[in-house]
Amino acid sequence: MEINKTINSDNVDLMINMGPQHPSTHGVFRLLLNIDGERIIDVKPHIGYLHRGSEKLCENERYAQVVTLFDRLDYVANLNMELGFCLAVESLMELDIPDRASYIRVILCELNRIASHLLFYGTYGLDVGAMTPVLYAFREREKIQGFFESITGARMMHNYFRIGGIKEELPDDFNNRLSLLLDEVSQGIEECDMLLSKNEMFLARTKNVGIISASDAVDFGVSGPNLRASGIARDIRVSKPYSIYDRFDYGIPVASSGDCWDRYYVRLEEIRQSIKIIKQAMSQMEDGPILAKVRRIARPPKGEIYFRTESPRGDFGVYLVSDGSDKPYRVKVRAPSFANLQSLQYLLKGAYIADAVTILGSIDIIMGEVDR
Amino acid sequence: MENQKTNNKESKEDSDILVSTPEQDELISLLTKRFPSVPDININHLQEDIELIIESKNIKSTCRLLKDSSELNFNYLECISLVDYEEKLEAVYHLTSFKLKQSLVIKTSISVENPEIDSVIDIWRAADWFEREAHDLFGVTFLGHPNLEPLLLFEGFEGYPGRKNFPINDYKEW
Repeated sequence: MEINKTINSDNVDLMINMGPQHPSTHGVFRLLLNIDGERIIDVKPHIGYLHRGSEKLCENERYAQVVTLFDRLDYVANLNMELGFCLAVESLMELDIPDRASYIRVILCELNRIASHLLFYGTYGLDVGAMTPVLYAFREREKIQGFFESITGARMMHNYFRIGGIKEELPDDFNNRLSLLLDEVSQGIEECDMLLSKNEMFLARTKNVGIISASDAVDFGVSGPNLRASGIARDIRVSKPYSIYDRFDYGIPVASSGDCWDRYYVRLEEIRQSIKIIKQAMSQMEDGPILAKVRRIARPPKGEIYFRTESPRGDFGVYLVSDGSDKPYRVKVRAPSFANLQSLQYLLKGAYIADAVTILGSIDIIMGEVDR
Repeated sequence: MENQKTNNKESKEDSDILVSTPEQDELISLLTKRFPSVPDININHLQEDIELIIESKNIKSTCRLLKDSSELNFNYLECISLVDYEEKLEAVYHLTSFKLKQSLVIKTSISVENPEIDSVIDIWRAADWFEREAHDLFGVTFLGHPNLEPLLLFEGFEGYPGRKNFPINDYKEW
């Protein structure tokens, strides 16, 4: 593999093993670092500690059952995973989804995006050595998780989306509670922003650290906020709108330098845009059915589809091959973290050992979807 | 968007011949212009993506052409998937061109007896882990890949768990 950065690697003097149980590896991820003094000269990432064979398991479950397996891919953005799979099956069956169901899906998915970015915000603070942000972030995130619990019955692993719609109608006080939640969360975001973004030490740790150029990011298959931080405005919600995302007015935050701070701030800005989407969806949502007329056991016709959605981490693709039976013939998941993590080998080469955790944290990986 | 969808649906009802959209026509004409011998072109009416069906020995030259030609410039490799059809393996490459704002699917068959195909890691570095994963789970050797160590499985794992003939143990109550 060609790496453009050239470093003299004649005198390797130390090899450091980081992980798999390192607190800042966000799961079970192992890194072998060859260092020369303070510089990292070679990186060898080891993944697979969380490999459960999800794709193979999908082939032995009915379509409705597969949704539960998708919950467990990106386990901090469960609903976004469910949405990706349900939309893939629905477009294979050419189903029309009732409007109300689509609006509820969008509202919940954007809330989940906020929760996921808040988790990133908190843990990223910890990664660079700030203890306070995580407390503020989890205070807000817990409100969202509690809100999910009252709607879907579970804080995580919701299994709420169905092929053709959603599981059940929203509680009566949904609108009031959602607007209250949004007010609280948007206030909380501003607090978080004030607390960390312009902090002098935080800037010193993250500015001009772990830079990846747009062309390298594209070459490595990086997507989502990481790619947008490098200056490419690619968001599936806009470039190839799925579900009802073409009905809202919102912006795509893009940064230019592609360093750790940009990757951090793009996510913070995305939270604000998600709040904007939810508010519009709330005002547009009308009463109606929540489930399309579908057979209890879904049997999509023979065929295949590659469906792209924008998960909080980037392009989430589901490649689904159906042979006409009640179980999928093949499910391949294009996990955004998997491709994003590949760029780590490039990012860490030549960086200081003290920045390794800063850079790894800024990629925002979830091992559940990397290893599948 | 709306137009494309209705267009595609009609075509499905009318006959087996699929009607393509203007954007697809443009891409097809670009492709036929660029390739010396035109590969099979297929249109999947569900996903608006054009499928190129090629022989596995041509994978590297095709990919090189698709990325390097300035008109096409498929610079983004989204995914490499393998599907086990038992009589053959199929490698599916999903590409996107940021310039054309279009996606393309390349499909090629790999024989089960001799599962070998050229690596495309020289063209897109993103192919690295996708190919290692495919090597792990399906036993396909990517010629020219610098490091095909196990990625998701542990060292010394026997068999190819992605394939259909790999047993899956059902949960049994005892």
